[in-house]
Amino acid sequence: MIEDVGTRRFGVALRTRPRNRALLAGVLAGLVLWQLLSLLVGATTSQGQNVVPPLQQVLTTGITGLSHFYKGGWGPETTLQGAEDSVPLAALAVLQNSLATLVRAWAGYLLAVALGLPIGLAVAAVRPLRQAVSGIAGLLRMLPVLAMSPLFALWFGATTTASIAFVTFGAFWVVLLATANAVNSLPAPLTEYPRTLGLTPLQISIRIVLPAILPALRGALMLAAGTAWACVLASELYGIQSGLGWALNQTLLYTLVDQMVVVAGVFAGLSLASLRLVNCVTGRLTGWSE
Amino acid sequence: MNAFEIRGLTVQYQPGITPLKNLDLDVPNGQFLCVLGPSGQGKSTLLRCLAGLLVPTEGVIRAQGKPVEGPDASRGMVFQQDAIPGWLRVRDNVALGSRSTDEQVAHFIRAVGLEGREKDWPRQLSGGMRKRVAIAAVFANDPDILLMDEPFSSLDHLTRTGLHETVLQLWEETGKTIVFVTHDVDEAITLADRIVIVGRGGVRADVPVTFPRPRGENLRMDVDANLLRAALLESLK
Amino acid sequence: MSQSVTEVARAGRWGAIGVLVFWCAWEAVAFFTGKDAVLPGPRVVLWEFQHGFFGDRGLEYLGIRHSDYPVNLAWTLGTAAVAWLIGSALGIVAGLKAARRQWLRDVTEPVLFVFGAVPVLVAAPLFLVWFGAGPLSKLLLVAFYCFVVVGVVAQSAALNIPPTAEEYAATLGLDSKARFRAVVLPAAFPPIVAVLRLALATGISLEVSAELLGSRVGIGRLIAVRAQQGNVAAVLALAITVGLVALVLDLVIRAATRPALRWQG
Ligand SMILES: Nc1ncnc2c1ncn2[C@@H]1O[C@H](COP(=O)(O)OP(=O)(O)OP(=O)(O)O)[C@@H](O)[C@H]1O
Ligand SMILES: [Mg+2]
Repeated sequence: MIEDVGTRRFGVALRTRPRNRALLAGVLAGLVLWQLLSLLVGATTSQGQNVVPPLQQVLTTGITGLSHFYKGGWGPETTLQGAEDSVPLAALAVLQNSLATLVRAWAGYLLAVALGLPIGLAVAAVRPLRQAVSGIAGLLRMLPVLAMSPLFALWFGATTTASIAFVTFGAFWVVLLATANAVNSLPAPLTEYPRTLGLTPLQISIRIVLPAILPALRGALMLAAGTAWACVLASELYGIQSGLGWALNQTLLYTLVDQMVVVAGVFAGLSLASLRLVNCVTGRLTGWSE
Repeated sequence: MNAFEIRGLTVQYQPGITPLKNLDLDVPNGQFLCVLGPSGQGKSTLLRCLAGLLVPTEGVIRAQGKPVEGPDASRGMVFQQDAIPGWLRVRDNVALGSRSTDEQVAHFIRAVGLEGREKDWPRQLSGGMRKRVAIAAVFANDPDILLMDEPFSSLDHLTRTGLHETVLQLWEETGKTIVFVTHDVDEAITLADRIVIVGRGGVRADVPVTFPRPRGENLRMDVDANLLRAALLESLK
Repeated sequence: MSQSVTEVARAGRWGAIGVLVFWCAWEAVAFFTGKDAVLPGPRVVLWEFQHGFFGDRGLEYLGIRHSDYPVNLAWTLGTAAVAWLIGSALGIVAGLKAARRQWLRDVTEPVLFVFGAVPVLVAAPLFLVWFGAGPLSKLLLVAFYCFVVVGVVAQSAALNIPPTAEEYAATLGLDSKARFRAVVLPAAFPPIVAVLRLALATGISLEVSAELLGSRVGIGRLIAVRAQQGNVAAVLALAITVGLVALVLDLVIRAATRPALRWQG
């Protein structure tokens, strides 16, 4: 009410807010821009249609062309066995590869949380240990992690295991460090008071410390989820023969931009949805603090 | 001319939360006005409107005859809460204002008793000392009108008495207009030319205070002062 | 004060001990694995580093013109650093301003919302097709990444500044430009420094992985070739070298920003 008037006229400490309208308009503007670009590039260069395919091409051959990423085993014949490109086959291909990517990303992420959280809590309880681990993590943090996915393919072969191990490796440190730091910055009375009530250290860890650090951990869990999705993409881009990242790499190899855009869009949608889910769940868990 | 002319001032934050309703008030130039009132009755809201930080839902405020349109250096405000930036050392904090001069800065750092702490960061000061930094900054900026929102409520008795003298001295020297919000009746009687009690959205009482200055301790014995105190406490209920 | 100094010293000592223990554990595991081709120990990696530092004939037969570390490091980190500078600068300005101007927020919101959650790496293939296998495609990719990461944090930092801080400055007569310089920028500075450091580390990581996808020069290109050869030690040597140089850059940022962060204690 008054805030609206106030911000419009005086605006000393004006705060902007996100608007769904703007989000929608931005997406529409992006589509229009793409179409204009494709017309422009198509008219001025000979290869233009391949470099920036118009939307109608993305929505037709860009989708049906995905059929050859279907690897069989789910009933219908693959394109290698002679099947024609079609929308249902493309849908199967997207489903198959999305599933592979989803499983890898989530398995790796959950594993990283399941390892990083308890180890972080344990490490934080002993100060020298926490400082030692911070020292190691401070170094590992600077490694070009995304570029190290080929290593995991060398160790585990081009398998889902390699991908999961890589995702876990990438996200584990984020969770571990954030947990240790969050415990470290808790006010002392919080753990001293329950100790006077006679709770055991384990009980204190689970019933007091864990809920208390959740608000601080929320950002870290989001960051770790983002890292997990970047890692799964990196591992699929180099070496592994299934998943959306592999499909993306294939479209790059043959410069099939229309299909590339569709695959990238599907991947973006999945990772966006996953992060929203993490955000939602952690928000539920930390509801008491808001 | 009046320092402030307030006509029909209404502030509604949300439906049902209307701390100020149709408030009228004139503040002549050079007056030391104390605003008294129970907690949550819109004293800070009134001051924010005078400073130009809050647009009233209805009504007009004129300062020196001109409508208030946003904050500026002519109306300095000491905030109720801690507001000084933590990244400026004490001296830089006092010198933050656009009108402040080195001379004034040095003078008011001394006046609020922060000599020797010029190079400290705000985090190294106590709450009361940070309040004194804000007071010095506003004084050093030499505004025409001073708006003070419970400026001394977190200070010890001695410091507070000292700052009362500083404010009164400044006021007598320069003839600035001061609007001083407090919930301490004694403080109001010691400082004010005029006391206004704000409550239920408007002005509940408007009392001139004419005791000779300097007032100090002898006011405690004064019969008239004690009658005034009793009357004010009564209308605060 | 003196207590916090000894505290820092103690943290540094235990940090060093941690690294040492890690080193020894790695050496021990490598020793018991017994296969340098699978898990080379630190000494093997070091040997590989010394051997490959000034170039490797074998790689030159494979058509890699520059196989020495210095040229490739300079290429990779130079591109990443320039991209980081450009992207971060734009991100800081856009993020801070978008917290105060609704129209700018509306413009930046779609980009920050989407790529705040989607790995920018997904756009790497498109950038490679559009801008070629040269440095431009990676430069733009990393700059875009830094813009998003820094923009998101700068925006939320500016949104979280207590309103009274700005109102106080306004009643002291500071106009909006002066308030931006005296209040908004310094108040948002600590989280911005933190995200700048994060953006540098992850930006370099993104740069190297984009080079893995398609490039003629750069550490990523070397890693790709070495991985194809199955040379784990060489991959590790390359990755660790990049990490160490990145660490030095990180220390430089920390040293450069320390005076401006002292007020926090
Ligand atoms: N930004 C705001 N949004 C909504 N309601 C507000 C806001 N600021 C103040 N209020 C409400 O307006 C009323 C008056 O608040 P105000 O701060 O002016 O009181 P006050 O007289 O200064 O009290 P105190 O003596 O405790 O400082 C209160 O009921 C408060 O809850
Ligand atoms: Mg108040």
